[in-house]
Amino acid sequence: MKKLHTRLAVCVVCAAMLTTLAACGGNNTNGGNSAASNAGTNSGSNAGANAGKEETKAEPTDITITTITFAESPPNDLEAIKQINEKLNINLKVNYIPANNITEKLTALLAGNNLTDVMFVEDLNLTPTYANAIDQGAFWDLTDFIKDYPNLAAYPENIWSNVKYKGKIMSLPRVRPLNGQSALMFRQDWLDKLGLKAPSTMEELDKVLTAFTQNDPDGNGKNDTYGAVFMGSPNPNLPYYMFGTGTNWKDDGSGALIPDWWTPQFKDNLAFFSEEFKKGNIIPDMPVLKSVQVKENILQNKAGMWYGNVNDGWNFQFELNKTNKDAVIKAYPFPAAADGKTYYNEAPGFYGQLFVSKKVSEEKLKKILEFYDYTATKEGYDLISYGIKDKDYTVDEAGFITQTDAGKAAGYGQTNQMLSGYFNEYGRAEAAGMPADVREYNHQLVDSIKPNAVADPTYGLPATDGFKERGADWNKKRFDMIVNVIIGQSSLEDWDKFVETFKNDANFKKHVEDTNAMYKEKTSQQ
Amino acid sequence: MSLPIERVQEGAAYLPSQAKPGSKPGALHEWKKAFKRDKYLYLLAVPGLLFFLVFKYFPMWGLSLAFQNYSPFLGFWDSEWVGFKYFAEFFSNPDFMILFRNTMAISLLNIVFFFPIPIILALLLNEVRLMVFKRIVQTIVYLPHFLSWVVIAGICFLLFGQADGIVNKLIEQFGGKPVAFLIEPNYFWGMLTAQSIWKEAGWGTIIFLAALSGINQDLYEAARIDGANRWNQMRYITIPGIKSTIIVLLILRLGQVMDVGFEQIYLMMSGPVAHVADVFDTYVYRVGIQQGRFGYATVAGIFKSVVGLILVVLTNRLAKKFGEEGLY
Repeated sequence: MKKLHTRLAVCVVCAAMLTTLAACGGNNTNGGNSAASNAGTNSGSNAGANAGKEETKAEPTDITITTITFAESPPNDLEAIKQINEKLNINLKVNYIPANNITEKLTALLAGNNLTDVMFVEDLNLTPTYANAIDQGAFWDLTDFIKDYPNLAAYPENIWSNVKYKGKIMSLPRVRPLNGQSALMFRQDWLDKLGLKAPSTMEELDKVLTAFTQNDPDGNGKNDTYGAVFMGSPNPNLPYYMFGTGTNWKDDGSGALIPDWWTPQFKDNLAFFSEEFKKGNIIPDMPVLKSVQVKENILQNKAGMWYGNVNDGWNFQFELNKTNKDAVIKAYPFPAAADGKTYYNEAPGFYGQLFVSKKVSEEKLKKILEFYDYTATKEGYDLISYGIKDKDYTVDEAGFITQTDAGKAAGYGQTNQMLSGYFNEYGRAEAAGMPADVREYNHQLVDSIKPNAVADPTYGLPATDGFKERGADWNKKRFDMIVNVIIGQSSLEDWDKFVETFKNDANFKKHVEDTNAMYKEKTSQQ
Repeated sequence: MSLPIERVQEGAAYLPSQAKPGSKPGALHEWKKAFKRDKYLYLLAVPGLLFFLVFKYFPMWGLSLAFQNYSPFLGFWDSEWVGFKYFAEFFSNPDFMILFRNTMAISLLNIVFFFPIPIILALLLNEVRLMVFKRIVQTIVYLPHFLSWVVIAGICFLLFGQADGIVNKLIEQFGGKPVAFLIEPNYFWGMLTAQSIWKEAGWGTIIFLAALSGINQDLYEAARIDGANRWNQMRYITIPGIKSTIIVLLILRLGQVMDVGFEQIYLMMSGPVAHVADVFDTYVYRVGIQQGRFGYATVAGIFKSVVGLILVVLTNRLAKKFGEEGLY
């Protein structure tokens, strides 16, 4: 027995030492970051002092940026970064955080007071600690600066008003198209084979999905296809919008806002999809499917329809053609809702925001904005995003950029995550290598979406105190309930009861009231 | 915030304090002598002691967050003090009972079904005569321990999916109807327990095998002379020989009754099973980490630790009552 005790004790000590080492490693990286940002502030002031002297070149300004990455982190010594450093006399250091744990990492950086000069925030509602930090003055108010930077000021007015926080521009939006994120993609070859047309009403949609499921559209003699595949995890992502709902908040007719999921339209949407699920027209694994698995199911010819960006149709077809030459995927407009109208959602026009830490001097802030102004041009954006022309990327006659293998190997592809970017209205309808006719068709599709797109009326409003405290829990309960209703584990009556509980919940009531108060304030300002 | 207090005591229990400071006047002197004699042992203990001091005792200071509306930007000193507000909120939360039920159910299933398996496996391995075979089996059963939960969840989704999971394909081959293993709440707890067994059972045998190797071989020889067969040898020598190890490990396990493996549950959780899958760990992650309510999350952490501590103390007493060595 004593022998065992000694062994256990040795184990404990070893484990202890390992943990200590690991902890040290972690601390070192953080130390590096803060050292970098300190250096930044120093050389910023040096640059100012030297500015008066001619001949002597001013010290480059260190700029540290924290941003997201969806692939491997690109290195910081890329040729394009060197060129831009040279051009603007700056020294960029980018700290990439993998998308999987961006929320925790951002919270940890703030908690550890390790903010870099520029901080990416995916969504203030996901990291409410940042909203608190804004209130407490941790970041620069950019409202009065933007007008001095023509390329940034040229971003659409909608986007600037959506990105405002309590009426002030506290961050640079990472601009994205306002439309084109909502379309239904159909397997055109399956439609043709079954002699069907793309649906223009919900009844027709139901017919198409049923035919895809039951009439063996892939012609392999087996009953192994499904009508549609949707993402269900971590949150369900279905085209609620086509029913005239899904915009988070909705005017109830009296000028007051109510959550969109309280509306009858939302219930219509649940009724429709739960019926489809019951018929077996939606892949039964839907509740556990992540976005990647949606794609996998399409690439394995399992499902004939899904919901996504306009250009996903072409992108997925391109990959699918590697194994199935005959597959054709085409993006289609939403079918009309029960009232005969077609509804879409308008995106906020940005994905993620870039905040500038209040720790940097005004002089350095201007240098940072200069960098973002330059990269808001096509030239600057292409340089950082794709690298050096004809070496890291090529441009075809239509003006499309293709990253070369050398460019991919060098690590471009995620470098654009540090930028606010160049605004392209059709960004979600285009892709490299897309044939001209598809592009033309997609552009028209986006143009047809534009007049019917409804924006979330609360874009640009800060989260209420109630939401900051309980929002994640509320959302989770609602998402779980939506999935349960769709797969038939809960009924539509359960849904009504669920909505009723929230209508009577004191905390949620307060959240609705506060949102309305802020909304009134926002609308009266305009 | 959970503090494995049992490990602290574990560490302390094995400090090489050979000296027995009595009430005699020379006690201090004796102690000094013993200290001098064992100085290298004390030196060896220093890193471990430092570890507990720096990483376990010092962070306990952070427990005061439970009484604060902590804001990282304002820092510890400027954050607002809220007293017992979060404790009240935590215990009056309507989800509390669901969280408690799920946590306890998953944990108890684990103790009842998972805990004995490494012991049985170790006993079986101990009886194997062909060393090559034993080593091969050991290697195979250890392997899953080195897979991360992400991989195991992925394998599970591939095996048990409804559209093209292998298991459901087999069921269909035999004329059955596909079963919604992944989204059926009734199977969720069983699935978790089965995963834990598959992943950790082999690894868990290590300590028991170590204990088995510590049993005096003479006992077996004597028993054989007395005519004991292998079954009797196992019953009267092997099992009593590792009984104290089993009890120590069981007490330690009970201390972690509220820790049910965040990663595993988080990865396996989806809408349809949420009401049986939501445990304190996932709740703390959602409410505490995602929403940045550090004070509130700390309350949940304290609750978990306190429950663990009570259980350790109780079972330890019980073990002593039945004449076992216990933890301390």
